[in-house]
Amino acid sequence: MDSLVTVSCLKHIYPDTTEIHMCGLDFVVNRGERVAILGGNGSGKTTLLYHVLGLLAPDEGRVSVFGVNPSVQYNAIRERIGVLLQTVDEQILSPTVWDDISFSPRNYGYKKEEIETMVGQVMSELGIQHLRDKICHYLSGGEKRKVALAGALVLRPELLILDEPFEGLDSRSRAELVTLLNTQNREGMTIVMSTHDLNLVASFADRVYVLAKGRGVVTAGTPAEIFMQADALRASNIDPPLLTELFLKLREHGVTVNVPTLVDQAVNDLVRIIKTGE
Amino acid sequence: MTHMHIPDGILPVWLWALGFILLSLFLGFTLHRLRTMDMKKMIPLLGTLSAAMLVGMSIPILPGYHINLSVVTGILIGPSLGFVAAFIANLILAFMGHGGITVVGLNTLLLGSEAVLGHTVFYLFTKRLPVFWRAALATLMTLFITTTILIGIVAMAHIDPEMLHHGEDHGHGTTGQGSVSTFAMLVLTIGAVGWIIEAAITGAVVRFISQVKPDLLGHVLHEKKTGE
Amino acid sequence: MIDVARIDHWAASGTGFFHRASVISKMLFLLFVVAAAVLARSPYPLMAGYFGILLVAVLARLPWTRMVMLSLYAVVFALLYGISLRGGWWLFALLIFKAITPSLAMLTLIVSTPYPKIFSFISAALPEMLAAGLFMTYRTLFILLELMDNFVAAIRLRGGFSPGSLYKNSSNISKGLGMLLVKAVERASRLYAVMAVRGYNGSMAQQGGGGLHREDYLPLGAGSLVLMLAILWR
Repeated sequence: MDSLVTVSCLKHIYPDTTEIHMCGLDFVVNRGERVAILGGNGSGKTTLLYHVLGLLAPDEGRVSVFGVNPSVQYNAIRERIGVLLQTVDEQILSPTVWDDISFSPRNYGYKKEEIETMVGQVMSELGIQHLRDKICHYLSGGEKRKVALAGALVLRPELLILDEPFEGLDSRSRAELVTLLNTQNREGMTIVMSTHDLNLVASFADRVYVLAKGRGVVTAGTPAEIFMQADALRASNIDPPLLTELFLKLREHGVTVNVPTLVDQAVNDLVRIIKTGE
Repeated sequence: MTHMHIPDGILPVWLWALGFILLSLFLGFTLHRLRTMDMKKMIPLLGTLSAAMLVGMSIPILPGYHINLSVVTGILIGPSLGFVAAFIANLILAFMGHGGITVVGLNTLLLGSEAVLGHTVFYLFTKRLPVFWRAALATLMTLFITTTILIGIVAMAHIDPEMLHHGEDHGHGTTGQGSVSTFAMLVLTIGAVGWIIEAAITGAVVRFISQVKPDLLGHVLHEKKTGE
Repeated sequence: MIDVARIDHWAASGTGFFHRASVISKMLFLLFVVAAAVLARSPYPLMAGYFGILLVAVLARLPWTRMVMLSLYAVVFALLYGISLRGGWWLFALLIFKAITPSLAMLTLIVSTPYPKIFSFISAALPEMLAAGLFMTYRTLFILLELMDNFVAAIRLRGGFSPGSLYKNSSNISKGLGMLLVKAVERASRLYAVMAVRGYNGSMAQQGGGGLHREDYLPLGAGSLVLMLAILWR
């Protein structure tokens, strides 16, 4: 498979002497995948993403993005990467919505007509055309997030990186964002996301990496494989999804049942159990 | 605090024009000094510290007297960036109706001087005085100097022969010979009380920073690196 | 400091004919009135200008009562200066109207024009570093104002403010200001990361003021009239 991102045995020392060691499994993102990074507070999720973005250089270990070391050659790959950071207010740099969405294309030297087209398209996809001339700090939290996302998507990046994108969103907004991301992925975009939300991981990710404080990547696999590893999740300060815990407990009580990751699967299993009496 | 809330039309043309000329020269020199600094590092520092100066000005410590954090800004980001931050803050203040647009030059020279002098005096006394007293002393000395300059500016403004001539022509009761002593007395009296309070607050602010994030006081923020 | 959030809101939400006029015409309007204040040798043309601008503000449905009050801040220094000149009533009248007439013109500009448009116009004449710094300051100002408000609220709720206790209040405000500066610097380092990742290369926002509009006759006309009065009445 064509791997876009590879991170091996990372060690980073911050200026205040805090050390981050991530020498577990390698972190690999293949083209076209939707990857979720799970981990408790302080496990290194943001540190990992910052290394992928070239904002931090490892003191030990190897980071490769599109075949280059991003901390040295980020300029060579930056147009291929879109970013949505955790604190949206810090991602929005320009005073108006149009200014901010057009920030990257303007700075990369795109022509005015091209910029108009690109910005118009992405605003239309996200349903924010009406916000074009609005001043960013008057937008609601959800609108700011859409503007920041538009800024990340405007150049149609091959790789989209999101740091806890669902924080502070209500359930409807979360569902909208997942739908949007899945649409982008179907059109070829590779997506990497850090999150605490296991329920969303089930409906979104192809592959999940679990980080633990001081140990890096402790396990990796599909959502179904990861959710079965309840002990590993708890060791990383993550509670398994309620659905998983319920069905694992049913198994402990001798009920023959799969462990579903989605509610629909769970309903089918329960209906079968109730109807067959098993 | 020596931001002049002088409206447009009061000071003679030659004086505020001179202010703009001097501002251009100082800004040009400063921008030249900063040319090797990474813009991506400079602009956020300028934006956040200029904004912090404006926020500081929104807090009245006495009726009609506001602190402006110009000395602290100079201490944190250095004299060059501090001077530029002073210009940005003054331009925005003018466009908020605080002081005329024609006095932006003079105001920047005053506020910028506070950043430059504050930085210089603070680091002059490194290892000789505790942080609180270094910052307080820097503020006191700086404000005394810049207030004196302000009085000098007002004194120079009185030397406008045209204004005096027309005043006499209309015979509307002007003496044609102004005095700065009343102005100076008012400014120095109120100012002295304000200086002491501002010095104490600045000292406390810098001491707080030295306790919470001491690396900020080590010239770290304005080290020049070549950009990408 | 003048209530910048309220001014910003008026400018961003208004729809009257002065709001629709172009930035360039309103900046010229300001320039003409400032020039009139500089050139005037009599208070009468400036008095006429002040009330003329006020009439325009009323007709354009701008917040004129608030604007009048804000324009009067400029009187303080004018009075101080007049005292220092030891002048008579004529000089005082001249100084006061030299102060408040351009002040009202500035207020007319800022309550009818969002700051990003004003800064876009100015930034065309500034080096990129200053222009970008201007936009970044504007962007950050509201965030820091909110942060400071939260600090002050927290200090108040925790008993940190006492009427009449200058030492205690100043000491606690200093902690708030210190934290504000620390947060500001931390924000700056995160913004640096964002600018790097988003590829900043010299363009923070659109620059320039756009063209002239149909509604520009009003600000241009009003400004020209005030200036002509000041010149003719010398």
